[in-house]
Amino acid sequence: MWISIGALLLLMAALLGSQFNPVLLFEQESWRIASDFFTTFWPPRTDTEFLQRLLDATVVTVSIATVATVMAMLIATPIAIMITSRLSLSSRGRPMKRHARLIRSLLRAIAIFLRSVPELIWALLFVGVTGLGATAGIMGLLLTNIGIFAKNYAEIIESGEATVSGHLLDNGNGRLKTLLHGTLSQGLPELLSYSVYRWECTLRTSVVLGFVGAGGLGQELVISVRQLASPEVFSIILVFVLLVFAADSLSAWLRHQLNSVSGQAMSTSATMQYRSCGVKRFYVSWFRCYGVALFIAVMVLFSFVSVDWQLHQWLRADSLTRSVEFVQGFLMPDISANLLHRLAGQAVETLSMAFAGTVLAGGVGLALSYTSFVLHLRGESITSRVLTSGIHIVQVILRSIPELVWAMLLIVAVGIGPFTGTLALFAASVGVLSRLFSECLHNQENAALDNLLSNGSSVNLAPLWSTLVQARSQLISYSLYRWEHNLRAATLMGIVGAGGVGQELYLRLSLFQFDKVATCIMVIVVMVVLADAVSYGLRHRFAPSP
Amino acid sequence: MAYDRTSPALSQISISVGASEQVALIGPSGSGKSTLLSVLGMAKRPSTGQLLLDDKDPWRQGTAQLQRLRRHIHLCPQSSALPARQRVVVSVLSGLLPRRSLLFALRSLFSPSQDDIQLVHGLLAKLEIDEYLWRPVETLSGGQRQRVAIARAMAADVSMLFVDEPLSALDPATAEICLSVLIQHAAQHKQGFVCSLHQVDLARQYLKRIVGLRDGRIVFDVPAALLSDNMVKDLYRGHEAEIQA
Repeated sequence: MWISIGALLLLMAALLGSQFNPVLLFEQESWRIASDFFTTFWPPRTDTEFLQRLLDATVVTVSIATVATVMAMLIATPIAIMITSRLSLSSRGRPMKRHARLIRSLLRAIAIFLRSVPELIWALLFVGVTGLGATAGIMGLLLTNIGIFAKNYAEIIESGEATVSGHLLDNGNGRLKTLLHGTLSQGLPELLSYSVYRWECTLRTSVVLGFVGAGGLGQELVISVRQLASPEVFSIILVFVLLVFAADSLSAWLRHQLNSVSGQAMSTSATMQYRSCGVKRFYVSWFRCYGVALFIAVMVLFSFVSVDWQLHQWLRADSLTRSVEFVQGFLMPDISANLLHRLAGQAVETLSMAFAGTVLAGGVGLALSYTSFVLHLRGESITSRVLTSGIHIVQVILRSIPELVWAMLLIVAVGIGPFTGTLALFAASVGVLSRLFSECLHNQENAALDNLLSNGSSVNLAPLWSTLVQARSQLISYSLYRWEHNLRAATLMGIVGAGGVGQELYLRLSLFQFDKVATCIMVIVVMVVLADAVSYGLRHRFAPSP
Repeated sequence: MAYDRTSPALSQISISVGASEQVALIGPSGSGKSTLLSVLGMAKRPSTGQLLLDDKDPWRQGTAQLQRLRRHIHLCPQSSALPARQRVVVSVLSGLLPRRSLLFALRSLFSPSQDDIQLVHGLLAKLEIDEYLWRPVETLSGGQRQRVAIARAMAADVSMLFVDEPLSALDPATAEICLSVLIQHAAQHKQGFVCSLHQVDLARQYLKRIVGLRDGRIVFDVPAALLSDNMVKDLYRGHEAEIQA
């Protein structure tokens, strides 16, 4: 009871804080501009010269994402190995030594810091220091990914059986041998599969890197939106959607291959496959092992070659002096009351956008997924099929356009400010949440629902008292994850003018006031870390088994 | 090897095991057999008292030196501790890992040498599971896994073997075969051998020295020939169901 009242008050505060004003959507003036912009979407621009440009930008986008993911994997692996206590020699049979514990906590803290700053903000900083271009984007994706990989690799290592690596250590093996025969023999498929998934996420982010001048497709979009060239905008968005869809499918396929190989013990070679399963299956698994590996290797190699490394730009004198200023700024952040006051206001805006966007999206997403669930129960009538596919199309469109792109498009209609940011977060989150909610409702046991239906409850209402109740904790858990995600995304909205702390950061960075930039980043890190902790706590309180 | 200590899990223990001696630890569940084995095997540091290996206290050495000392023993835990997806041949070879190079570690994951395969095959044949040489561990039953772990212990090139309940998931006939193979192997290689067992009869039949543990204390430490039925009965008083024929 008190919890729901509190949540309602919080929502109202968040709506106020994000200057929520739906009337804006229906004002004649903005309606006119928006309709001018959006009605000229069709036909999209498809001449060869433009498509060539888009293709080049797409290659850059994919290369940046691939290079950053691979480099982050290479750097994060040793960090994860050092972080996890599973491979600690000094603590076998006795308490861990103090310096070992200190180094572990330090590495953990660095990983948390790296992943708490969104990719786009790191990229923005590097654009400020070394100038426009792909390397700033790579560095941005790299730093955040190092933190994310280090944390998740360590978690995957620790999810394996402790006795296996413990046995090897106890019998006098070093860390490296234990890693090979204990840790990797257990968790390699999970580690690889997670890495592929992470590549997919990185690619989604890489699409918007161009918004801060860090290369790729995003840059094309910014140019076209500024010129209000709507046919171009539409083409670019189509490419976005296609690219995200392709990455989605490729990643799912790769992970499927990995899993099916691991089903037959993937930590072994072709000769072993051959001995254990005969000629025909040998060739099948040989192709799986080496074919997939070759494909990945070629893609990675191509990406490393095709990226413009801009070494001259990094080694320029003014880049170096700027790097020094940047480090100095970080060592002495500006904590004057004036700046802190402004940041506090914008932080409230950011928090409000994230909260309001998530809650509203949760409500609409739940309505959509509930409707499609009921339609599914009602069976195969024409109307229900049309409605279901309608909902599905809306989900796909909302989901495959990143929040920042939504913000950029909505600014045309609604103007700058946190309300736009909230709407953008809302739009993308409806797509993601309604899909997750749908899956979740479909995955529930049907016994209680069948019982209600067979006793004469209406099809529209019966899931309310059965399926929905069963799915409750999972729905909450998904919403909390999304809220975490949205808070990160909300810190970026200011970069395109859609409110929040990103605005101050962008302003200070363009004035090269690195001490103030440092303060902004600290505020972001604190918010993200706190949100992670709150969400973790709430998930364990309300959704014990996600 | 000598050892003394006082603690909740074990107390007032004093035991020394000679170079090629063969010892059985018996006693009801929770009597401290596994703890004693892991202390002897240098996996757990005694909170008080001292463990001496050739007159040296391993816990006074640095981490690297301790790890080098651990290479001279093999401790086989009760949970077989085998990676589920690994193939049997690789799991058995991992017993050799501490004394071999990193290159061997890497190579044995992908394609073990013919000699190594022969070695593993020979060990598995003695334990009557050679047909599983190339199977992933996860496709094996509990008893089969236990025998893989025994083969791994036999593959290890060490001077001391500490084996915790190697027969718990085996049927009586197989259990006897495995124990005799294991003991023969240890004798052949002049290894010291300490093994905790629930099968008192097998212990008396195959091992020369029997140590009885109860509530973390040594109740008796006698040659098998001198162990009387009454001593066993006293040891298991209140836990009679645990004595296996």
